[in-house]
Amino acid sequence: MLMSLNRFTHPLAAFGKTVTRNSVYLVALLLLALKFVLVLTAASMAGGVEDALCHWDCKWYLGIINHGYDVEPSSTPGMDQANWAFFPLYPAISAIAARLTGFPGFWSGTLVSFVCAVGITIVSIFYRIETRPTSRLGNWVIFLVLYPFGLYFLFVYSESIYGFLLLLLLYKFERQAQAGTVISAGLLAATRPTGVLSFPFVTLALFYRLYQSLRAGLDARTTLHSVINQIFLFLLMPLGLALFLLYLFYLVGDPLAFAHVEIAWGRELHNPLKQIWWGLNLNDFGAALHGESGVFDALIALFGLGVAGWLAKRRHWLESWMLAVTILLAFSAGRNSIVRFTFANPVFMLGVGDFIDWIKPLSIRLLLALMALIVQAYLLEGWFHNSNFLR
Amino acid sequence: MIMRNLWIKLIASAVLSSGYLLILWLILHPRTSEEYRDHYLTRTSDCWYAAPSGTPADPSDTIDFSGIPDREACRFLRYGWASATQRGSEARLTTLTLRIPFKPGVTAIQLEFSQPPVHAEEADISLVGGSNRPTVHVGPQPQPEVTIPVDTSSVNDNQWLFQFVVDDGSASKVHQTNLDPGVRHIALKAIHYLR
Repeated sequence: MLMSLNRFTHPLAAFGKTVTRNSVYLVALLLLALKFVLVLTAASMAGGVEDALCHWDCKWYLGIINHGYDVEPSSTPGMDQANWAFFPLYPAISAIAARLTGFPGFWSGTLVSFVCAVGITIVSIFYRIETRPTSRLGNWVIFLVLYPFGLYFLFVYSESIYGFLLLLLLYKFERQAQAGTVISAGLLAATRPTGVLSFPFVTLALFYRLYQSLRAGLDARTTLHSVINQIFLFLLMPLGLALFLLYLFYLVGDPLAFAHVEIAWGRELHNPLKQIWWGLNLNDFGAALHGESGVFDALIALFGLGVAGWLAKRRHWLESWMLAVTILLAFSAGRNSIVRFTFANPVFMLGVGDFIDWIKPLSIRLLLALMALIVQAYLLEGWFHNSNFLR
Repeated sequence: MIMRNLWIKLIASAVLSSGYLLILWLILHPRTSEEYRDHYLTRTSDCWYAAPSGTPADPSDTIDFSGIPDREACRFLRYGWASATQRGSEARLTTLTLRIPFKPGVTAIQLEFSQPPVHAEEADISLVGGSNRPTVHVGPQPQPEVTIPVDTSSVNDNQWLFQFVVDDGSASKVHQTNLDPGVRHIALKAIHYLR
């Protein structure tokens, strides 16, 4: 009986036969580990692993992992240099890992990212089984490994932990596990500001659940229990974010220091649709390779929103919401890093994974896999050389 | 057991709600340093002056910006100035502010400028606040100096505040806020307290 439950009946397209679910995980993790080793090897040949892999936000995270948050910015006129904009969960876990293992900050951050990449792999397989029962998991596993922007999950960036927590949130939500959903949303909001965007959706779901149970005509005691339980879960959700705000107050006297430093960097919130329209009218496509093209960034945002629309059409509401509002919020504060916010978002990957799954001819899938491999190598090379396009 | 869980959740909810209300209050009433307020909340300074603990000492009667680190220069050059070079600190924006600590017995402030080597720029400088609000004009001489009379009526928060409006000769100056970063601009070389 147990054996039959453990059997997974979807064929692994790459192998063309029925395999157990455990085999899927094993193959996925082996491929991920292989990719990790290849990236580290390539980095070591490109002038040292840390020098080749640690750019842009990695430096900020390393600063927090090694020295904590700044008490004040440096003084260069017009250039604010304080690290309060970076939310604490990823650097905090990395700092704890550094203490426990004795690794330097870079390696403990890399370790945390890799462990979360393993989490992304496992939870995404669980989640696809739950939400896309007819999809071919073999395709997904290969896609996960070959997807070019999956490289971010191996860097000292919060992409990996954010992706893991977002998928965990989606999975718990799908399973209607309320406590798990709320805790995932709370941790997500302690990782990045965009994590807060899950709150409205989760809150709505919590109170809809309450409404449903109240309508079911429960006795007074059970009703009271339901009300208190839902209110408690609702209040638990922002705890991580609240602790960060309190810490910022303790540090600099302003709980919103993370937002004020962003504004001082010029990342004020504007109407994102106007921003996209403005980007489309810039006529600077030639600057795309330098990461300075407004048209290119606006097109990427539109593409991401298109994928969100596609997910909504397939009734993956929370996925669609999280992708759309993340892109809109990111673009409203400026088009910096929109490539990363869109393409390294696991929800975007789920949407693209659906598309890959929809392609039937093996030859086209193989061609796409080859292209993904080439693009991945190109991006890695660009990353080694500090390419602005990837920041 | 169920009732006990219920009470725990109820008390936890009350604690969390109170905590969030406290944070909301702290958001509305930040308790920051003066420098943080100027730099992040009111945006009246675009640099960071790392004031030593306690009251900073009175500046000397001549402050030469050609040999002063950014962190120290920010005590005076509050908004719109670039990092100091040998020429002094260049204007980065068309509207700039300068803060000069009050010193008793001072009757005027003299400002010494360096003009850019290729084209001359002009600026209007006005003292902010007080009953007497003189405005002086910096002309196109290579090493212009201007003297602005000051008195105690214009002292605000133990300092004199000056506003600069720079005209670099560009046609679009009305809407321009950033000066062209590719060329040299007028630079403030030194401040002298006159008695």
